[in-house]
Amino acid sequence: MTGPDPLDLARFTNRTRLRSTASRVSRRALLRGATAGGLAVAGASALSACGVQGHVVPPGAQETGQPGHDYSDTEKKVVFANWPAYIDVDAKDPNKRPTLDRFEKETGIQVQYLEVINDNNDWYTKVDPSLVKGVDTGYDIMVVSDYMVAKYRAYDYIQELDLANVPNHAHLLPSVLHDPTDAGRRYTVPWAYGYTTIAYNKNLVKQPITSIAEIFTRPDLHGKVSLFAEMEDTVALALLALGYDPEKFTDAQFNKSLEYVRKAKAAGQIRAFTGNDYLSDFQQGNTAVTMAYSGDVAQLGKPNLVTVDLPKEGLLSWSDNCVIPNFARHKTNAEKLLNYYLRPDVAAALDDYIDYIPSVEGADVALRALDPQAAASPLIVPTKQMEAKARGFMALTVDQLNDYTGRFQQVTGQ
Amino acid sequence: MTAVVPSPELTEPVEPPPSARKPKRNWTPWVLLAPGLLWLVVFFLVPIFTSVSASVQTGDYDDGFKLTWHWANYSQALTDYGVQYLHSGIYSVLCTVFCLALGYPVAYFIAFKGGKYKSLLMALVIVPSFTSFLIRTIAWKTILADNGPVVQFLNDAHVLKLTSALGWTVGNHVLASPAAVVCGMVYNFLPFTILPLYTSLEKIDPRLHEAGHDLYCSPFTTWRRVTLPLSMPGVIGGTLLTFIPAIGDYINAQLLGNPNTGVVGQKIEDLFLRNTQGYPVGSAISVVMMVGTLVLVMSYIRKAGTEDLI
Repeated sequence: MTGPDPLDLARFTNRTRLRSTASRVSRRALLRGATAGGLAVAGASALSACGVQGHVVPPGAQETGQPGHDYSDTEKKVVFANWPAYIDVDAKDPNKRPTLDRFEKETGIQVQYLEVINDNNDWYTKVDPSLVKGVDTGYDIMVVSDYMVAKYRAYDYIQELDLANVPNHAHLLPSVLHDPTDAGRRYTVPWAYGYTTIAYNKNLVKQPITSIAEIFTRPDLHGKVSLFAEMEDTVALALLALGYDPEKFTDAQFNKSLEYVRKAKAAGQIRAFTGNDYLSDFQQGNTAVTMAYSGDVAQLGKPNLVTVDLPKEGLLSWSDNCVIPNFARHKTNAEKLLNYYLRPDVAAALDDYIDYIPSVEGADVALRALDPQAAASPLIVPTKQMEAKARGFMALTVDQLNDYTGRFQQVTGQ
Repeated sequence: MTAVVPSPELTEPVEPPPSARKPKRNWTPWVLLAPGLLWLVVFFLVPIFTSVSASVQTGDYDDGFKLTWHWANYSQALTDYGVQYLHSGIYSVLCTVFCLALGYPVAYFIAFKGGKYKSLLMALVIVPSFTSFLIRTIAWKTILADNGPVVQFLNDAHVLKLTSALGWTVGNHVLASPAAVVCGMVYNFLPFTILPLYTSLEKIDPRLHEAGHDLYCSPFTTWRRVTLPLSMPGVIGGTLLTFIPAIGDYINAQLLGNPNTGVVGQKIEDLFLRNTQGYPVGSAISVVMMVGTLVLVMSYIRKAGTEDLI
């Protein structure tokens, strides 16, 4: 620009003035400025934070999952997310897992085994953000409970298995194949199959417990009973106690069993609603009666802690299942691992350690050869009577599941 | 770029135009403040905005949450979780009172009678908290185990019959009862009461006690008329440092309580982590909790008349 700028003088005076005020920025002005600036930024981010994005795939889509690029041939590994204490461990070296080590040796595929799942709902909220965006979760196999499989499938979050890679799938027991949430087991392979029943401490409970209803009502058990904090466990137990069928119940029956639990809690009968940590209080004698997963109490090996194998009203069956999430990087490797764990000898070795029921044909024979004492336990090789009286949990729609879970949590009131 | 803003300051005597110095806006204070301001914005203002915004949304985790100005979340928070608010309030007030009752004599003793062992005694107060809060709370489960010696003794002495009749404990055990929750809280927060008390007691000149004695005051009157007023900043500081974390604490209620001793923190955790529709009501509960605590604390400070403390 050439020539005298008419604004020069104005700019000059303006500058002077600005400089002079700047040198006298008071604390108050600074705070005011900071607040305004902060509010502006926060306001903008608040606007963008208003509303959380929901799912792209509406519930009920039930497609066959979305495959990602399979790097199985180039990356000889598989990432496996499981629950703690859910695999066989070498007696001498707790860092060695014999069945996994054998798989690595036989196939040359490295297994990154992570004990990261502690609660079905927590885990869902952890992987959902990746799955909803359509990106790899970083896991090739994750173990989730049966009732959650319905939810993962409703959002089309898990992939159908390629049975050509899982030939042992043909040997799954018929009782396992007839799953309410995944008929024919095309998406899931059971990792553990077991029963939920009740267990008690003989030193503290003088009169043996034979039915579920007793734990909700017997006065000598007041304040000594612990139940599970997951809805489908405790509600199913209450349904059984009231004579309903957990595999097929109505809203009214759900309400009644919820009320049954609420009353027992309000009366002080229930000491705690616990997660996986229920055994520590039970072992210490703080709780006298607890809901228990079939294998857990046997694993403690204490003569005074006994499991009621078959309560009068029946017992609950469940399975924790391996699923392959969408966009898994090593799907073929994952399927090879699942196939390996369906071999009768491997299944027997695993279930001998974790004390659950093998789900493939021939595993009971292998188990008898491996550990006759374990094979004699009805909680590992169940009797026909138990099989007949075992009940799963009804497959719920996503809306039902959310509604029931929400209302159950209000009752547990922790 | 610099817009001319009409300002009354133009009428002020204008400084002579600087010749040597370059006219430049002074950014130094802003630059120095930037990290702190950024911290405040990112970790204070933004979270407050998001939780206030979430508290008036509707929806669920699967379908997404939308801002619908659903104020009913607040009435739900107050009606459905009234019991938990009550528990949080009662337990934290009891905890603060017990901490003060136990902490004041300890701090007094260390400050005036500790002599050369002062530092050692203070270390004894603080060192246990070097162990994780969680571990120490879980240790109480072992100490107070139903079959443990402590509970056996209390049972034999028929103490638990009395406390159970009063509703403090349940049946013949201590764990899983309101008393256990309050005891756990008192144990965990006691150092936070003792530290500020000690600091303000230690500053008091012991010669004031002698003066009180010379003027024929009984030791109790000296304490009431001289020591207590002078230690008030410590009392206020200690109670605030105890009460504010105690009202939000839920680990003690979770580990040492039973299903009927629920506090607000447990409900917030449940709603955020285990309930797919829980974000809005969970946020509403947190906002009510925050505002409630703020009002309580502000009125307490105002009543205690120690604005200079903050």
